Amino acid sequence: MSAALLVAGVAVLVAACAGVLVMPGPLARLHYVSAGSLGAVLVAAAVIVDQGPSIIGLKALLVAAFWVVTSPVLTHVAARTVNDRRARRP
Amino acid sequence: MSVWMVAAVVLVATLAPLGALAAFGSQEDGLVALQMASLIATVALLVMARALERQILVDLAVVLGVCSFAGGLAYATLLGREP
Repeated sequence: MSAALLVAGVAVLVAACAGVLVMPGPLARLHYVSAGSLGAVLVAAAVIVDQGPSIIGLKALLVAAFWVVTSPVLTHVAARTVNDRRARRP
Repeated sequence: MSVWMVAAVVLVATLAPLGALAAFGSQEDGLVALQMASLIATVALLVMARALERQILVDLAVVLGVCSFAGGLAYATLLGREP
């Protein structure tokens, strides 16, 4: 079970990385950064399933929760910055 | 080599093209690549902690998650102020 979650999480992260590399323009690329948070959640779930209730599982949960909360904020700030810089260009 | 170690190697390998994008792309592309690389590095540290049975790497992942959020905000803010 934990191996399946781990493989799924890594696959999501690799796909998100490929999307960031392939898409044209920073705004299109930002969509894939948000999608990468799902990979972090899946990997954290793999660690929790593998280790059970332990310190490492708790910290994995903390890392995943932190990314889920902060990733939309970072994406929003980055998109606003890109948009502002584009608007200022002559 | 366990599946955890293979996953860690795959995740670390994905950092190289993101570094190339940050180095050779525009400044906005660099911001996006930095965010993606921060996420992948955090998850890679988590996986490496399980693969190597080193709990200190989990603490490093937590610290990196917090610091990358602050760093990403600072980078985006300063990039927005640049003429």
